[in-house]
Amino acid sequence: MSKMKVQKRLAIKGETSIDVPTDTIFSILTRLPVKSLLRFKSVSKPWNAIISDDEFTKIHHHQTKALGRKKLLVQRPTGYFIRDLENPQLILMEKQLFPLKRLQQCAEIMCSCDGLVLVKDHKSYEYVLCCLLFE
Amino acid sequence: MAEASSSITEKFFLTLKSSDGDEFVLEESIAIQSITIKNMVEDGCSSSVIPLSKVDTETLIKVIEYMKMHSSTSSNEEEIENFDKKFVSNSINTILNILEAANFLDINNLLELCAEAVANRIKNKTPEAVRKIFNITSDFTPEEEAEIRNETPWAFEGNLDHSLD
Repeated sequence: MSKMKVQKRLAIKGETSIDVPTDTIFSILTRLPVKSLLRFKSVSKPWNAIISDDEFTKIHHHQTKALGRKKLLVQRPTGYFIRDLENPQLILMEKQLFPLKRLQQCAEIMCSCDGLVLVKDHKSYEYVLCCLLFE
Repeated sequence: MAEASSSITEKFFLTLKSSDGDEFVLEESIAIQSITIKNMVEDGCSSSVIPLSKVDTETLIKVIEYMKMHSSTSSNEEEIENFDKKFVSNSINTILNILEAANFLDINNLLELCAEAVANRIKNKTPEAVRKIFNITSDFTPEEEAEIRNETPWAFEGNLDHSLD
């Protein structure tokens, strides 16, 4: 374990940095996309703790819904596409993210709910639950 | 509406005092957008000056500007929209100060506006830039930090923003 460094309360001379209370941090983090959150887990241990917390995940989920960041998953012979409902463009999903690589050729989307997708694999007759991470 | 001219309600004024000691006189109907102030008024604590020990003068001026613009009697929707756009173009430190004040004063709209603005400004930034903006010293060992990066390397890829504003 590392030594806990004492945070400087005073702003460094010449800079205007401020100490931001946890409440404020929380209200900002709930409005960030998942990709940013995963990156900001590495900011500090307190940030990692907030972002990894179950309660935070729930609130973040509600917030994302409230902000209307809805996406549509489209399956085409050439691959899976994500469509942002506020943006007319189709965006090809990064293949390593969805679905699992082995499912790319012969899978069928059965149903989905809140970013979880149930996929049926026609080769092995398996059902796989995939999680979508939206940016 | 027809009786409006005969039943103009008396205007009440409140005096708000910043942490720097500056006093601002504001119509009560505007000031009670802050639930904290509203509760104080209802509890009868508003006869004298209301001290806002957590809000400095610069921030309080901005908060008052916001409350005036958003008070129901004046300004139309388009004006408010343009005002909000300009409001969040302040420096990120200024917005953080206002956000903190909005939290303390319990002004939900303002809190949402500022939180959304900060989130938009930092969403593409590097962890290093975020640390500087929020005055955070990393308490991870290099090994611990590398471990988090390795969990989701793709979250660290792409064109990330190193700027501090």
